[in-house]
Amino acid sequence: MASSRLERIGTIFTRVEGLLTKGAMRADDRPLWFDVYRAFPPLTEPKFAKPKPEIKPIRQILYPEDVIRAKFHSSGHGLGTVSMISQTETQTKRLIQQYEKLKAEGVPEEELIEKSAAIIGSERQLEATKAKVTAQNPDSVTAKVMADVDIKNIFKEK
Amino acid sequence: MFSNCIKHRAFIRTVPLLRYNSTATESVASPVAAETEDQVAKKQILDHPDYFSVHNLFTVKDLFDARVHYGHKEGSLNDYMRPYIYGSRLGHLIFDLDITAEHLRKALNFTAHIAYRGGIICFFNRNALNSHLVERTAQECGEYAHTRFWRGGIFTNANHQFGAVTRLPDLCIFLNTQNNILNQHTAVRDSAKMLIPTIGVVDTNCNPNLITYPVPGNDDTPTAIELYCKLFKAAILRGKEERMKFLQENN
Repeated sequence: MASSRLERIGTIFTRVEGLLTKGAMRADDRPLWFDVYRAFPPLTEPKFAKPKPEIKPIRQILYPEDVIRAKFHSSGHGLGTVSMISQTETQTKRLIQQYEKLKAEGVPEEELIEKSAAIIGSERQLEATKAKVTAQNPDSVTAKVMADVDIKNIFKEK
Repeated sequence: MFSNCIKHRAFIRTVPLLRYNSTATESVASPVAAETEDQVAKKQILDHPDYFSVHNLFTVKDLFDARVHYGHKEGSLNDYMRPYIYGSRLGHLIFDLDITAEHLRKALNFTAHIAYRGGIICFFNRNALNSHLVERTAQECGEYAHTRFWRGGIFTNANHQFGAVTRLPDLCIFLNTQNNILNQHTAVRDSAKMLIPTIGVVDTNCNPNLITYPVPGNDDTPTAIELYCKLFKAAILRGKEERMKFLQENN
C-alpha cells in the first residue's frame, strides 16, 4: 500500500485523503476505518505538531471543612487505619462530623478538637473490642476455631 | 475533495468497492448488486449518530466509582493534557469526567463501527498488573492483545519479520500509552506511521497528540482498567452482533 510514514506531518486521515485525491491510492484500497473517521472525526485533530494549549493556572480543589481537617492533622489526630475493602468512613471524616456536632451543641472553640478526638478515639476502641472475625464458610474448621477464640487475649497464659 | 474519488470509483467499478486491506488479492467479479446493497447499508449506519447506542454503556458515576478521575501529581503533567483537567486536589490532578465521558463515547462508537466492518482490533497494555486482564478481555471478544515487550518493527517491518504478507490491525486500543513512566509505547508512533487509528487512555503524564481518539483518564488503577476493558468489550461485541445479523440477512 502506498502511504507516507511521516507520522509528524498532518494526521492519518489527511495523509490518506491526500493519497486518494492525488490518485496514489485507489478509492477501493482505502483503509477500513476511513469512512468511519470521516463520519465521526475525533474531538481534536490527532496532529503531532499541535500548538500547546493555553497555560492557565490549575484550579485548586478545596472544601470549607479543609480548615477543620488541617486542625486535626496538625494536632496529630487525622490519621487512622482505613480499610480499603469495607465502606466505613475514614478517621478524618468521622472527626469532622463529631466536630460539627459538638460545635452545634455549643462546646467552646478551643476544646472542640481535643473533645471530638477523644470521643472518636473511644468509639474506635469500642469497635475494636467488638470486632469479630467471621469466616467465609461457617462449617469450616477455621470458623469453629475462630468462634471460641479470644483474639484480644490470645497470648495470655490461662 | 472526496467526492472526486467517489466519481472516479464509480467510473471504474471493475473491482469490489471496498477491499478491506490492500494486501488482499483482488477477487474476480463479485456480484455487484450485493456489493452496492452492502454499501448502502453501511452508509445508513454511518449516518446514524449512535447506531450501536454506546452512550448507554456507562455513566459518569460509573467512571467516578472506577476511580477514572485520579491523575498523577502536578509535577509530571504534560502540557497537552491541560484541557482535560478539572483541578488539583492538594497536588494530585483530577480529571474532568464530563470531558472524559465525551471522549470515551467517541472512542467506543469508533470501536463498534470498526468491529462491525470486520476490522482487526488489538489491545495494548504495558502494565504487568493489568496485562492478564487485558489479554483475557481480548480473548473474550475474539480479538488480539499485545501486552509484552515490543520488538521494534512489528508493524513497520511486519512482512519481513513474520516472513509473509501480514495484515496489520485496523484499530489499536491502548489501555496505557507508556512503556514506563518515561517513554511512550513505540506502537503509538508505529501505528501512526502505518495509518492505523489508535484509541488510548491517556493519563496526565502522557502525550495525547499521536493518539487518534484519546480518552483522558486514570491508566494505572486495576478498577479503571477493568471498566475500560468491560466497555470496549461490550462495544466490540455489539458491532460483531450487528455484523452477524447483516451477514445472515444478506446470505
